[in-house]
Amino acid sequence: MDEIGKVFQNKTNIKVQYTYSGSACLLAQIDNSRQGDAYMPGEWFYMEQADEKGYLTEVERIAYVIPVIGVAKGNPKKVRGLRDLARKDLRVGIGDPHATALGKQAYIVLKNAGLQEEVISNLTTSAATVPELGNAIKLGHLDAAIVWDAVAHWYPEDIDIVLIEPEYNEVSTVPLGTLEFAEDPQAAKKFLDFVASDEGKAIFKKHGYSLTPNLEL
Amino acid sequence: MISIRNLSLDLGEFSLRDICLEIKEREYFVVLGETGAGKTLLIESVAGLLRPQVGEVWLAGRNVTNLRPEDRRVGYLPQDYALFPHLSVRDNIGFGMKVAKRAKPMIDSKVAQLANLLGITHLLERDVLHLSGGERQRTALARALAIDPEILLLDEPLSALDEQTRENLCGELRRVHERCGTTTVHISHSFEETLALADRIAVINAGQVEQVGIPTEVMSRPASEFVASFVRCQNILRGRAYSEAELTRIEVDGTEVCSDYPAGGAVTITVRPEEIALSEELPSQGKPNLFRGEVTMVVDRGAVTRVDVTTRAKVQGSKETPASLRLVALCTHRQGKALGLTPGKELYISFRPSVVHVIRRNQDEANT
Amino acid sequence: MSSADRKSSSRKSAADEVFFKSWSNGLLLFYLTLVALILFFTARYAGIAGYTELLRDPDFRGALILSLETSTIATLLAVVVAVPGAYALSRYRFPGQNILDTILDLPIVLPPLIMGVCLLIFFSPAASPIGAFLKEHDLRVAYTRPAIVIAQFMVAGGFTIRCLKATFDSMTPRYEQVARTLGCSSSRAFFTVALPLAKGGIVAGAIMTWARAIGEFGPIIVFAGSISGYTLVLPTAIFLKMQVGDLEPMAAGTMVLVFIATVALLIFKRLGGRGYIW
Repeated sequence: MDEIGKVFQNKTNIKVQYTYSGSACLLAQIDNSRQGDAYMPGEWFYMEQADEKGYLTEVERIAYVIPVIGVAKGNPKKVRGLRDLARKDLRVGIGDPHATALGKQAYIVLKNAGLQEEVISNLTTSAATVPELGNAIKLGHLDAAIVWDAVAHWYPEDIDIVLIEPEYNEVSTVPLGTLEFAEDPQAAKKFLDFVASDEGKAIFKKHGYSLTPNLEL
Repeated sequence: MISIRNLSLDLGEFSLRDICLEIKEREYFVVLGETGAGKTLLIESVAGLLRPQVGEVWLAGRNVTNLRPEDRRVGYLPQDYALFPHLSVRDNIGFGMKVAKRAKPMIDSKVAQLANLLGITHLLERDVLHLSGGERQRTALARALAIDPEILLLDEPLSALDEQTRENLCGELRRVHERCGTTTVHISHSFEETLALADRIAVINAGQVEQVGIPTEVMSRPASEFVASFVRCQNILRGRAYSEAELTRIEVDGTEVCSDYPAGGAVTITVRPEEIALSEELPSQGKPNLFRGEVTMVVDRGAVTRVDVTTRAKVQGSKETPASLRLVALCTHRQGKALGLTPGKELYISFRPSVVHVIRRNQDEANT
Repeated sequence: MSSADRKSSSRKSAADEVFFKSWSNGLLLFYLTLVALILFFTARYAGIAGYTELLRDPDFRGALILSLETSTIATLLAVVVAVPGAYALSRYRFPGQNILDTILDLPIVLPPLIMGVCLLIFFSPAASPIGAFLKEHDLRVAYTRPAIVIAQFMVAGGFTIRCLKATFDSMTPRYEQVARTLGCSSSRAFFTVALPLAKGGIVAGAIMTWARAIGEFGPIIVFAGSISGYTLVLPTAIFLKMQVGDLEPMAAGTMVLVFIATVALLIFKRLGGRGYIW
């Protein structure tokens, strides 16, 4: 996002300020403060919520995030799919289902596979933020975690990706919406257009986000 | 009993240099010095709370230099008494015996005996926080004595007390010392305070011993200008001495003072103020040190009166030669009244050659 | 100086005093009002529903109990380490003392969250031999309840040592010295004299440590996680409520913490604790 902001500022001379937090937390902040120009949750679901409250003026799908199983480099524990997450010899982590879009998505995926109970009872941790899971795998505290493919891409040296069976998987959309509280709606619109442009999307791709619902390896 | 041999210790702010002292059994020994002279370092070295960098400490014939404080059998009374605030007077006194695992009846009887000796029996069950200064001091003394120490170390035991209590306790210390006979080292910054107590005194200055002796000797024959001023020899004059057949003549500020002590060269003379006689009449007998002068200041100190005088002339038979010495004399209140002392009053000033003490100065000092 | 001058100058200094007093007191009052209002609005925002919802929530009740338990254990550990540690720092002089002193300050100065990351690295099977050793013996520390205690201990412990050092510093070493001359070994002097005298300060320090431990958030969420019913403690529970936008129960939870802290502070003041709380 920092890179997007820089490129955008170079082009338009409009400075973008970010507040990073979990999707739900941001929505709560918007709810309370009635401030902000644009909102980018990790999941379409939150966009719907924002829309229900009538906060949105315009929305674009920017990128897709795909749940995958992140494992230590070389997959020493031989994790092959969702079913393995119930293995007792594995230390497994997922995101907190209330606090993170990733956790919520992971629960849905597990439910699809009929593995919810088994895996949840086998959890080592549920993280309040997504990068925590990546860090935990990198430091060896976890053997496997359900993370976004993009997150796994941040650790090319330390984390390998194991695909989740497509029949259970739920791809998630990263949307960007402009808010009705925008102080300068035109600038907000410009930002949205820029991010949704090929140039903007290319930056997302560079950072590991998929531009199509199919995982590109 | 106590032998301090070439003790040196440097803690930056305070230091001791090459201290040698021999303190005899049953002696009441007072170490005098100004604040910061290193007195407390000395007492803490003897108690074992500080380890000397150089030198040795011997107690009762054994070298205790490297012994821990708990192995020395030393009764220590710090300046602030340091009574244990969480214990009663009784438990404070009995503390050392309890540590030594003495039987309770033994502790009780010893505490009772010491409390009786120091007149604090009625305080035994009290909390130490509510004691007066004198009561604290007695309690601390009893606590130190309860372990039957070989020696007793008192760090400024009288300085925090009001004058009345100080006088009472001074007598008490003397009495306790006579009863118990414990070799005692008492440090103090006040010469008068300890005059009545000390068998011998040592004066230390800037970490070094300047003089050791019995009090009267140190008073009348100080070994250095520092000691002289410390023991309140208020008349300290520098001059040049010429030894003659019977007397020594000392040239001071253009006049002459005579002394019994043989000396020559650069000297400092000291005359104790109480040895200077004042009179209205010309004394009938001729005196070697007789001056005419006038009073410049009178300070009434109750029992005694301090009189500052400036001499005008030295009187030798019928001959007078100009002389301007500034001297301090002490006389009793009654004498002062009889003389009718007021500034400007003319009178005769005299002192015997035997009270003029002469300190030799080396050449470097003479030049300054 | 004429008498008129003197009068005007004394009037001037009187005016100065009035000005200074109202200025300093005014600023203090301003700050106090601010704190009071913030707490009041937070408490009000929670609403009756916020409190009832919170207290009915089994996750929150579990977190509250776990918080009380872990911070008590962490405090006991901290005091056991800090009493002799602070005593040594206060009484003995040794080379490198300044460096040691600085190291002890680091856990206090370091942002608590960073301490959590440092712990995660310290116990990492991939990054530290200690973590590898524990893993070999199938011992897990990260994301467990002991991790909560460790995080609280590490952050509050440095503070406990500071607190207790101030206590020992305020006590003259004369007591122990006299005890030594009366036959105590140095350890006996410590136990029979220094420790009883420092009792009030130690209890006060322990209460402040406890209050800090129970309010600790950053290192716990990072190092112990926030697993409902297992490693969720009061501050992390409050944080999660915020994360999901449940602001009313969050405000209610905050007031529970405020209440606990207030009780601890009152006891601390009552025991004569000094103003060395960071």
